[in-house]
Amino acid sequence: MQGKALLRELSQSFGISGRERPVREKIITAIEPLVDEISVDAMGNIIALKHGEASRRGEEPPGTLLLTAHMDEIGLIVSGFRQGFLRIRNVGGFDRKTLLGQEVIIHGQRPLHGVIGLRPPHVSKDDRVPEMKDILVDVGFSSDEEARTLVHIGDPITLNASFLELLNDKVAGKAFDDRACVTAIIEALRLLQGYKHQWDVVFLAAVQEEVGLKGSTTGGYTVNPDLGIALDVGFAQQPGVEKQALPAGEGPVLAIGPQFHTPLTDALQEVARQWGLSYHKEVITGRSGTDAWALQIIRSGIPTALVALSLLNMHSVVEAIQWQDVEATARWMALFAASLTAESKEALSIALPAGIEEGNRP
Amino acid sequence: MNNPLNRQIALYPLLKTLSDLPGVSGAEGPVRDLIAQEVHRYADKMWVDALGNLIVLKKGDSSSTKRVAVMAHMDEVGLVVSGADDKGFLKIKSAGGIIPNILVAQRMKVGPDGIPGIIGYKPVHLQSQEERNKSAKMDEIFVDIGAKTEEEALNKAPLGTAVSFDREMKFAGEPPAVVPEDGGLPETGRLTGKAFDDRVGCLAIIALLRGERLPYDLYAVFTVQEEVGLRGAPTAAWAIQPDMALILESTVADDLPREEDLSPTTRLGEGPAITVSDRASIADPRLLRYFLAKAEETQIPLQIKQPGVGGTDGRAVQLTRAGVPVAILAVPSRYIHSPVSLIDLRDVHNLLRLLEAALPDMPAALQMKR
Amino acid sequence: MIEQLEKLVHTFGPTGQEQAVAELIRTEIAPFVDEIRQDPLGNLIAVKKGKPGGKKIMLAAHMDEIGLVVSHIDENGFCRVRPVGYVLTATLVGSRVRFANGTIGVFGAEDEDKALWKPTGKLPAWDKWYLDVGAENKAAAPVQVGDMAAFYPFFHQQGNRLIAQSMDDRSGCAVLLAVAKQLSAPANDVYFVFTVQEEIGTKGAVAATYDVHPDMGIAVDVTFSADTPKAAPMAVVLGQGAAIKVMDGGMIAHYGLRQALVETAEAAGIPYQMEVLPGGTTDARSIQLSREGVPAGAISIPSRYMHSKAEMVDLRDMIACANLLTRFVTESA
Repeated sequence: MQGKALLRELSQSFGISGRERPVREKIITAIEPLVDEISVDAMGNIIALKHGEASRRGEEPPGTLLLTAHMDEIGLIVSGFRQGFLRIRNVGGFDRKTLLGQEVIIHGQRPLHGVIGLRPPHVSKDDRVPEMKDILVDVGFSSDEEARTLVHIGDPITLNASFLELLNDKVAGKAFDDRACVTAIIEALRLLQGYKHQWDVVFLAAVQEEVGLKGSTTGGYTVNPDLGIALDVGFAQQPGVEKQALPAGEGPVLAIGPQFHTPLTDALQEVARQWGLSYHKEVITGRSGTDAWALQIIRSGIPTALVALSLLNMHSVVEAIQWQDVEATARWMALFAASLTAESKEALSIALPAGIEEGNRP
Repeated sequence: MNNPLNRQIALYPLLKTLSDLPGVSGAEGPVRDLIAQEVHRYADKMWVDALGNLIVLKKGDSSSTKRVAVMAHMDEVGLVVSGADDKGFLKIKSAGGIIPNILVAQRMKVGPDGIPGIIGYKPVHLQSQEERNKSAKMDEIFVDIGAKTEEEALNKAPLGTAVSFDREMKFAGEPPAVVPEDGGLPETGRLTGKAFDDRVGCLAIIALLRGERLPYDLYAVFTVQEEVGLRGAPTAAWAIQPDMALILESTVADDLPREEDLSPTTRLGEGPAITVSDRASIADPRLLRYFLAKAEETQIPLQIKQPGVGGTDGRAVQLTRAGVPVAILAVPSRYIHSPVSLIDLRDVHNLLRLLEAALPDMPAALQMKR
Repeated sequence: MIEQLEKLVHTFGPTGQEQAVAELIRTEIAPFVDEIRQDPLGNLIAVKKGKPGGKKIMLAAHMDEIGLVVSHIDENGFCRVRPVGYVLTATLVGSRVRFANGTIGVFGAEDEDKALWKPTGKLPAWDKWYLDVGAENKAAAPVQVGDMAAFYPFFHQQGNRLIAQSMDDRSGCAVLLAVAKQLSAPANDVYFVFTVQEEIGTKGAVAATYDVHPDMGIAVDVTFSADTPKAAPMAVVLGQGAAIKVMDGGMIAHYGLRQALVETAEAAGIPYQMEVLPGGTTDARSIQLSREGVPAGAISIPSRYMHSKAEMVDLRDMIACANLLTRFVTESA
């Protein structure tokens, strides 16, 4: 499975933060033919290694490049019962409006179909958005006792929405944040099958990003790469979001700012120039809210870049992207990985002024 | 022994098809076509009037000279394309009462070809705390079909194109253990879907047409444009001139957990609901008493809809020509006017059982004292 | 357990000054463990060796309690304070606090317009509160800027309910002590870690977990209950057993570990309930994120009036927590 079909498969898979197993299994199946080693760590991160030329020859690789995207999706969790309805808590940030009128799947002993309704205008003049504590899931149970036979507190709930192909290669669905980027990395690994690359490439499919960048914090510690690139979704222009965002369909977005390692972002741009890839730049000076934020300060520090896919309607079941952006991202990442040489580590480090000798690093 | 109405074959897939079909007010074509297909072989006469109402006559066995109309509306609430912006996002207006919040993050079908569209909204990350608590407004709702320009958007979806919810009927929880092999309605279970209001009424009338001949001429009327102001029903009633009319509806079940001890309007699973009065009309007292007595006699659960909520084709029919006695029976549904309305199959069964028990003698009700 | 809990709550130990608590725990736990050490931050680590091939299981309870620190003493001897940890201000007027040197302070607040006397009055911000240490002027003040205080200690048992100012988390410490006492020949190496500085961001556990490098970790701490009049909805009730954490504001418990705890409780017939806590977190958050990641969970003691001067827990819940942990570390692999 590859391309759009892969995105569809991953988007339709389940895996709220902390309960990523179903989507993890799908990702492993997809990358098995593309990498040399796959492991799953204590948190549930997938760490997949594709050997470079040096490793294939049994030599020390000149460096390790980490590409990471997160597999978890925002969702809900059963927190209690009320007259047969389920009380819920959100896992990750929701606009409560996006929950109303949606179908959900309760992953209890068996999957159950439920809905989140809204009192109709005939009886409700209340124009407020309901508070989270007042939003209940209706599974059609008549009593708490009936509900408790099939549902337990702590059961995860995912929103249920189909994958849609719109006009002009625009696609929509749930959990594109961040499975569109997972797809892009897998497609990059596929492209790399045809390239000779010197560096080892590690794909970290991270868990629990949506609840505080947890997976990349521990996964990055394990991998301890020489360079790291986090791929996540960014805001695309759409009605109501004209100024804060870039248009979808014009290539990926490279983040520029203090946290993003300048030699690395320069090198990424150099590769893009060389191959005529189009991309946008966006200045981010504070918390990026992505795994790049965690990655940067692991152990003694990891030179980190952030590449973003422009996404509409983030954190809803109608997240939408231009498919060509995924393909462009995959191509960029693969070409960049292949561009790394034995000299790259040195070339991409922050140098002392000329003429001053470097002491021994600890 | 004839097969009871509620045991007819293939009612379940028919209900699913009816609920899933797009049929926004003014664009009821797909629903009308399906119903015509389903009922033409039971019709002595069938026609579509000027507004688009489908009227089916099933003659009586000549023992009664009365004319009875049984009516349900084909249309559902939805949206209509009213323009597009320069980036290709479709602007819309609502057809029928829709709370804008329910539209945020929905999947839609645009036009007769069902072009997929989505309704996006400013991401939560970019909303201020105030915006997060603020309800959406209709003018913030755009349908995105992936078009890049205004021209492309309006080419694919010209002004006036109907936009309906994209939603399949499903069992809440999980399907019941026993599902009739002949496609009959399962005994129990709750269903979610977008248009039980009022396709479940349409289903009941189709079942009636398939069933035994009644003593009187039965005019089955599938109306248009109920949701935009009861437009279809009066013209049909004017043409038929019935002696009485029965409206089959789906109505609000507001039996949700709440702090205050307020009226639930109707409750799911406690039988069909009969209207005493709503915002639009007061039911004929004789027909009301007749149905209550029949329900009592046959032990079929029937609940009284709490007065004062909603309005149906009943009002429009009641005021036709010299006036028509009207009764309204409805299947309770939670979350109507949303894509996730929820009904209880037992209520559908009991509606059909009650119709079977009560319809043959219904004209007699008019002999009762007012 | 009650005797130890009573000693624990009477011991002074606001965040950053947990040494007295550490010394008490060291004395209490010494007979039951193989090894005790204190790390550079002050965490107390006591090890009970298991069988060869067992896992390293870290159990954590925090020693610190919420407190106050003196930030300024005015000419009249009144002390201005800042909270250390999240201190509920709703009940402060007239509350007593105790300093390490035994000085007692009483809370007062600036109240020019008598807002405190109106039923709908707004609570003053922290800079309006002061501590009255009985001094007539600055020179006579028995404390200095930088001195820390904690709520005045008391302990009371009423039926199964236990009330004290620092159930958060001395009740957890008492549970860990009970586990150490009950434990004989566990399958796993059990690291009893009594952490410091939990109340200001689960700090102690960060260092302790790095040091211990466990295979899994379980924090024992208090959680909210929702069984009081018009409490915010939550499915935890006092007296209905150990609360096995699903998630809180800071972490999602490791699913496999959480299910293993549920299975242990089910198998042993130990009463338990599931906890989904909106907001808040425990040392488990820090344990989880240590190094390459540690499967982490938490067992919580349901509590009412958390972070006030009188917190209430239920003895039966504490016993359930202790039994569940004992059974889990004895058996699990």
